[in-house]
Amino acid sequence: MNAEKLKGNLDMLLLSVLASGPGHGYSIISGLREHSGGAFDLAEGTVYPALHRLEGTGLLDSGWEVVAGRRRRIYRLTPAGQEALADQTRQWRAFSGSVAMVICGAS
Amino acid sequence: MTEPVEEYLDQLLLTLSGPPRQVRHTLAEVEAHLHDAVADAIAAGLSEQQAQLKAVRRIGSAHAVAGRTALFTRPTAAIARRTVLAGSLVAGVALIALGVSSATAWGLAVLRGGRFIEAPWPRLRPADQQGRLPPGQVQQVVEDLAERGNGEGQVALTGQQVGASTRYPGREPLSVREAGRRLMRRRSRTDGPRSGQVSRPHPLLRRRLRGQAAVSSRRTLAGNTVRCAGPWRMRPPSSA
Repeated sequence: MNAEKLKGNLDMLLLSVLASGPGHGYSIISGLREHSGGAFDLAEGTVYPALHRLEGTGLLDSGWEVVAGRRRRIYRLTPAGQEALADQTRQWRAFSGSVAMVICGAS
Repeated sequence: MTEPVEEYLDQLLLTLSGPPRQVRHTLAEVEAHLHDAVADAIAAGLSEQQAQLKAVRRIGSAHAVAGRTALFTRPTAAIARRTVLAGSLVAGVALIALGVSSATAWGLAVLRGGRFIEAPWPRLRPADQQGRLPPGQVQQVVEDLAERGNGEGQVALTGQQVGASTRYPGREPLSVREAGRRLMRRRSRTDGPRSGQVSRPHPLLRRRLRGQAAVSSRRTLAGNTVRCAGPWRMRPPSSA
């Protein structure tokens, strides 16, 4: 998938993955790839600035835990993040529904 | 064997900027990510080296992880800070060296007097038409050498004394003054001066003379070298 399209919706996708439970960076990236059937296979390093930005805006919270013998930074949704995810999901559904209607109507 | 993951982390450390805690956390986070990726790749059948290369390739550039473009990442604040620290260190060492040398000079001046530092040299007068030095010139030079005990001249004088004692073990030891006189009268093989004339002095003395003259007359070293070299390279007019 076009990287620019993905980048525009990366925040919502990260929030969505974390909606199913807390996780560290690598697991979030793996979850994103698996849930998209391999379509969202972005440069993994770009996810970290996005996670840090979301934490900075208060949509995510993080803490250090030892998982499988390794110290990891675990991210989890904050209440504000849950609200933001719900809002963005609603907007996306409205947008994609509109796009689908246009495409179907045109064809 | 290269270690792609370690090299990547080194590069990331240089690229990251911000509060130290944030830098440490990001580095630890990415390190854990890379080790996870390497472990998965090895489990999938890759070798350690291939797994590290794959993990580094998949995570992308260090600038992407730092969340900034390369244009704005270098020089980072960290590099600038290290440069300033290194410059301060070099300046500090230079100041200490200056202080130590000043203290040494001061100590020598107290012990040996101002002449040790300034090293005034008796005025050199040019040779006459036949290449003879003015009367007393050699004596003056030798006495000055013996009095000040300067390094190079002292080595030459001592060498002359030791040589004389070795050649003539039964004789009275050579005085410093006589050793200097012999040094100054040493004949050059190429110049061929007439008997009784002063020819090229010992190289150690000659170098010392030039340096002393340059200091004493406060002229440039090159100018003094040219000026002072004349009397000591003299040749009889017949052989010129």
